Amino acid sequence: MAGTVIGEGLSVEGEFSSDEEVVVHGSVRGTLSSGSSISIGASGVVEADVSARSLSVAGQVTGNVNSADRVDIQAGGRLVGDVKASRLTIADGATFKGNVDMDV
Amino acid sequence: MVVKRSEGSVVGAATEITGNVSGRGALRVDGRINGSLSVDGPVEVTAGSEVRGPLRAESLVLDGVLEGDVDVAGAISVGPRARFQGTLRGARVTIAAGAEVQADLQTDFELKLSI
Repeated sequence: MAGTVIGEGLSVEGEFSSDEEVVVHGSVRGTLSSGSSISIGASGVVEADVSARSLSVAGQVTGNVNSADRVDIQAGGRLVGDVKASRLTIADGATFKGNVDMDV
Repeated sequence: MVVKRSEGSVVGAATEITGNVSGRGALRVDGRINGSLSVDGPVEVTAGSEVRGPLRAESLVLDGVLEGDVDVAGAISVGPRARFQGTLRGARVTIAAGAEVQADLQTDFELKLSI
């Protein structure tokens, strides 16, 4: 069970900071950060700069992403924004628009 | 409260939100929210959590710290570890022994003067 779950019907506007696992099935606007992993479910809509140890996107993210570890865009997921991460995967069926900085 | 995965929401103990939270579904707050909370569903503010701002919900179970005006359609239950300051408005209000409450209390009923 994730530490924080934003359900499908819920929306959060503002600064969202966490130090535990976050799962978003609803919507988040503003900033979203976690010292742990963030997962955006298929119904999740995020319009925010995202900072996380790792990020998984099955829904929609619009904003710049900064991850210490990895970013995974799942099939059906959509990410528009710049990604800074040491590892990035884009699944078949995912959409992505932005720059990638793998810090090489 | 049992929270279903995609319908219910949980603001975990290590999570802080500064801003507005709105929508539908059950919500449990174990962490901190600074801002307004408006939910079509039951809200639970658990012991150790903090909410500062106005709160609207279908029902409220409070056992944490809440500072703000509460407007609830149904029942409000203030538990023994709760600390509350503000207005409590609900159809029914229960306050447990041990709760620290400084409130303007409004419950919905009609005072029948004739028997």
